[in-house]
Amino acid sequence: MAVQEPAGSLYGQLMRPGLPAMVSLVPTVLDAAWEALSDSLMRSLGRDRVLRDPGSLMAYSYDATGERHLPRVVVVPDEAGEVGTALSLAAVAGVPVLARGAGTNLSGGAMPLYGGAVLALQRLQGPLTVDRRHLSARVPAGVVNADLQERLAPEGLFFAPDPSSHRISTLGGNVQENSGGPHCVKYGVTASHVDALFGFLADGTPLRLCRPAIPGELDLLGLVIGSEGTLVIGIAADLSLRVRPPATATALIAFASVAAALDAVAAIVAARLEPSSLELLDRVSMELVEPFVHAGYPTAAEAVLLVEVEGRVEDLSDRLDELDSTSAGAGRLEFRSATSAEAAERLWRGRRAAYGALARKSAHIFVQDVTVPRPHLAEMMAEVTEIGRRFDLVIATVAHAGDGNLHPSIAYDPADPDQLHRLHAADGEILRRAADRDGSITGEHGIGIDKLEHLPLMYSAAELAVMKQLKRVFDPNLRLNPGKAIWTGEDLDRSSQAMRAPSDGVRLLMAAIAEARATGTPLFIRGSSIQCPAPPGRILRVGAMFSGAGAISVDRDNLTARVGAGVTVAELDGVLMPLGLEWAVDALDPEETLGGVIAGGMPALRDTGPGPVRDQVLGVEMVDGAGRYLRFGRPVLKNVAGYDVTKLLVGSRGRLGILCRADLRLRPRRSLQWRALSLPRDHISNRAWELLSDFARPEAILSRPGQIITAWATPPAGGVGDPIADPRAELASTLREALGRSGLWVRLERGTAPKGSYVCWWPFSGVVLDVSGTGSYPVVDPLVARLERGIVDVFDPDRILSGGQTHESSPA
Amino acid sequence: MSLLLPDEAVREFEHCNKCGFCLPACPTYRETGLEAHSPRGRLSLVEAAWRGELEPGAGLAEALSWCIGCRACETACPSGVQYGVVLTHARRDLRRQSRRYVVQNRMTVPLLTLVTRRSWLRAALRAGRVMGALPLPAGLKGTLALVPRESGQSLPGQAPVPRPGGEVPVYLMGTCVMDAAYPDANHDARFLLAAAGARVLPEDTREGCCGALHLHTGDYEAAVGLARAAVRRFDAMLPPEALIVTDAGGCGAMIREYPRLLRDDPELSSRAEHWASQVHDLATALSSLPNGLQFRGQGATVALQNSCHLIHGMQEGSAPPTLLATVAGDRFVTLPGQDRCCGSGGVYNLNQPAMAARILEPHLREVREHGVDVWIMNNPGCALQCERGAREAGLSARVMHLSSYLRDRLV
Repeated sequence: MAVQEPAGSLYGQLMRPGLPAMVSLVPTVLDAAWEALSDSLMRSLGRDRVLRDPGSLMAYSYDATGERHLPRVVVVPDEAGEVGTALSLAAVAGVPVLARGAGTNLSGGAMPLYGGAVLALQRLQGPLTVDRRHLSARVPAGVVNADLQERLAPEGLFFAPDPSSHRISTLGGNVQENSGGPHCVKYGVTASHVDALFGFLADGTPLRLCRPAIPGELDLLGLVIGSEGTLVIGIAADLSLRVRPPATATALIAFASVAAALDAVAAIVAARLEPSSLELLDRVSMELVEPFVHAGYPTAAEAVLLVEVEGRVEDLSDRLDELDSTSAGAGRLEFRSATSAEAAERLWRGRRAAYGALARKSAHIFVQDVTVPRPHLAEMMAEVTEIGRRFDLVIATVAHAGDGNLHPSIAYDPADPDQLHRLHAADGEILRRAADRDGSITGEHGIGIDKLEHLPLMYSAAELAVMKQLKRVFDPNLRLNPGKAIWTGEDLDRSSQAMRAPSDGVRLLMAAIAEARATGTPLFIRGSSIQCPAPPGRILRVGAMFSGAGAISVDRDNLTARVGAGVTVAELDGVLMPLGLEWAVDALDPEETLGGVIAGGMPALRDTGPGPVRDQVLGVEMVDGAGRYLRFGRPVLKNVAGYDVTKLLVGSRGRLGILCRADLRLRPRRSLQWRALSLPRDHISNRAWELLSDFARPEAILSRPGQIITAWATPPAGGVGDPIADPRAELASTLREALGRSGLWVRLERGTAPKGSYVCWWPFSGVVLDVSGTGSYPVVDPLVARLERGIVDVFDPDRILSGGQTHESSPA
Repeated sequence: MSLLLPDEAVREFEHCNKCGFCLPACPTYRETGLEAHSPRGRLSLVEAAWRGELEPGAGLAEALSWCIGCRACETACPSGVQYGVVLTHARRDLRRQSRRYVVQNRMTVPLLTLVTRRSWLRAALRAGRVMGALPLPAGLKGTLALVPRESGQSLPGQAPVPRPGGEVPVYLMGTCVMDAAYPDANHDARFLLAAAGARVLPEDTREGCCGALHLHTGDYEAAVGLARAAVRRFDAMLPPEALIVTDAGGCGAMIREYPRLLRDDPELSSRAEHWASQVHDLATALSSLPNGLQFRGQGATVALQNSCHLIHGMQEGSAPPTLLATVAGDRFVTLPGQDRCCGSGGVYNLNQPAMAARILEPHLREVREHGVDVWIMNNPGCALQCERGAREAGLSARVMHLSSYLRDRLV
């Protein structure tokens, strides 16, 4: 394959030493082929949908990173079908394709690095449908985040992710980048709010990916969210909405040092105040901001926190008082609160102006985006300051302090080569320090092209190879957004992952896999679970291998734990309870191992409050079916470095690899009151959705015929049913019995009431456990099944895991 | 050939970080969804043409001719990029390179001459009203539809009544298009100013055009000439402490531009700065004069089409809605598009009638949906555009200038 240089030689490009190695995989396309493609696009879509004039090409050469690479042709589809047509034609021509929304990406992800065709999706605006009752919306890719919020506000709803670019960034971009924003600290990132994605594969095949609900289904949706447009081109998504809080209040708290501010952050989190945002500005940022917006930040402060709390109107002043007393301590200088929208807006103005104020100071800004486990935030910020001093750069830092995500922003002038050199060095240094702390080199902006060469700071050659293989499953010819997000060049052998030498247990697994592959004997992985029938093949009991008290390491301030896969749920809870913490997954059987719970991916009892199991697992360590020791994810909430492979492992039922350890997300423990409400069968659906449509949503809601069972941290007054003792055991035995009678897990459209005879219904995730087998339910989409097979091939090419079972062949 | 631009323009686009925050503020981007018709896109095209990476004619001329010049992007920009400065100089250099790059209606050129003389413009409007009734080619007919109907919406003319204690000397700039199309509104503005306690200075019947329309179309030299003449005239006619009040947002914003246009003029630069600091919009002036005015409404639903240059050029856009909200007895509604461009853009609706109509469309819909009875204007270009749009859409809303409405409701 011939080599094509990155297109265009335009002014102002930054150094990208890693890029040449990537180039070899991008095919050369002859001019004649471009002509033919343009002609066919114009014939199929109409002349006004295809832009080829030099001005338009220039207008699609950049994103918010500021560099420019010219595309060869730009397509501006007006409706979804045109996207498929354009992709089919581009596939025939074999050209690279980049889909983009508003082009606000801060890591170079929306720049057509290798020329190619750009699909500009901003005009995909309709139809946008909101299902108020079922807290769901189907949103086309081109809809701007703020426009969606505007549409939802009169309905009393909102969409939780709100990146700083929300006034212009599109939902298509938000999904592809797994966007964050200030409200993530309470509600989680975009991946937790997407139920389904509609789109196309690189060849134009239409595809629909759903939130996995049936045990054994691989979470393809979780993999695609945050894949930066390299796997699937999305045209619409089903989003999960939240009920607007009745009231919000904001406090500005000033501190004499960054460390004091971060101590207060830890105290606020530990006290379970659940702020809806928790932002930090350092002194450099405040000094930059103050002359422009006169936010009135205390001049003696080294750091300020901006904290937003939500609640019922009558509770707000209590919440502010709690915040006041919790944040009081050494180093606090001032506490100021605002309950009116205008007063709150004045406090927030400074935070919002931070980026612009720096922009006024210098011609260009390089915005960094790293995440570290929160207890490391103070040290990390101190080091950033030191790095700025060492390289003589102005660095202003703001942080989403609640989730350890910081944005050191570096002013630079593209015309100053020496400064560019220092910028590059400082950038690498900051990323290395974050990775060394078990953090991520990007929390919410994406790898794009900015951080491609730094991927080895987090991943071994084998892990990078897995990502490349996964890309090939979706996009065999590497045509979608080439050169972004993951390393697709020659396999890397440089790895800074020396400290991750496999432990003895891991070595044992690797040996067992090697032997199984050599002899062709399938392995069946077992924790302690007794739910699965014994298959033919050798049974590998890993339950005993990564277990015991020594296999649990809790980071109390970070609200995470690294836990061996052989640890049982009961053992973990025994360690967490005295610490006042919990892992918010209710396993049906407390003697089940964590490996089993994670790999099983059964619907969790508590699904509506903390979210399903996949939201409670931040990272995994595993040995895959090819014998590779792999680690994905980090003990941080925000991490968009490379593909989110962790999501694939949750619910994979051991088909991809053997779990050794997992990074779990914890939270302050809360005691739940379980209630049961008996209702006529035809009222169940209505009542369930009413309960879910309250701001203070129940922690769990599931139903059986004639009964709704809820769990509340604070039950609302009246009308939620009779208190019942913890129903876990009862439900567990019911479910087990149902499974014994060939129960079927079925996914319903959100809002569809369950029909036939069912055992349990989780309205929020749309899952039903049906024992009648009479209902007609959609079968697994053959295209999705093909992709699943491709993914299993990546991890377990010889099919030696799970007794050689695959999803399609497993008994119902 | 690359685009030649002065440093003051280059500095601005070099500060653009391409963050995209300007996109939702831009009327043509909202309408087309095309990056080349966004502020960020236009800045990058101008930059590329300046660097010699793009032929000036290729797409750039079209992109710039589609820009209304509302400057809403400047308010949205976190980096403080002054887009208008880049637009002005880029249009100027395109015009210098080739007239082909300037998309213009055949009526625009004579209009730019007419505005420099009041009597000519008045006569032309009278002629336009007559011609509008004649069977003419569609294009010309469309242009003539912008000519306002005979005014008669205001109260019968009354001499301004100076009240005792009126010590602030205030000069109401009649401005060319206001004077020709809405003379009653000017009269009402003077009346209100006097009532609010101003010493209203006599009308200068030989006042020229401020040059805003020339600047929009890239005729930079003509604009500078008119700016010079205006500053000289202020010096000759006004006491130095006089406030200049405009009831046309575009003209007020233009006077605020004079210091930049006349920066290199040794004689006039400091005078330009002086007068730029003395100019305010009518609503701002009324709320800062000593006598607070009381208004009593008539149960009407009232909405505002706020002038873009008043908001983004003069930065006085919050005064008119605040003032309107004080009219007890009428219901003032804030339309979603109140502060968004209506598509007038000086002569934009002559040069780009189709796009101007598309941009106006959502405004007309909002006026209809909110049951607006009185639709308030504070710039003559917007008034012409909206009056025509409302007439053609068959809306019952009555288009009124802010001053005429307030005088009508004055207690």
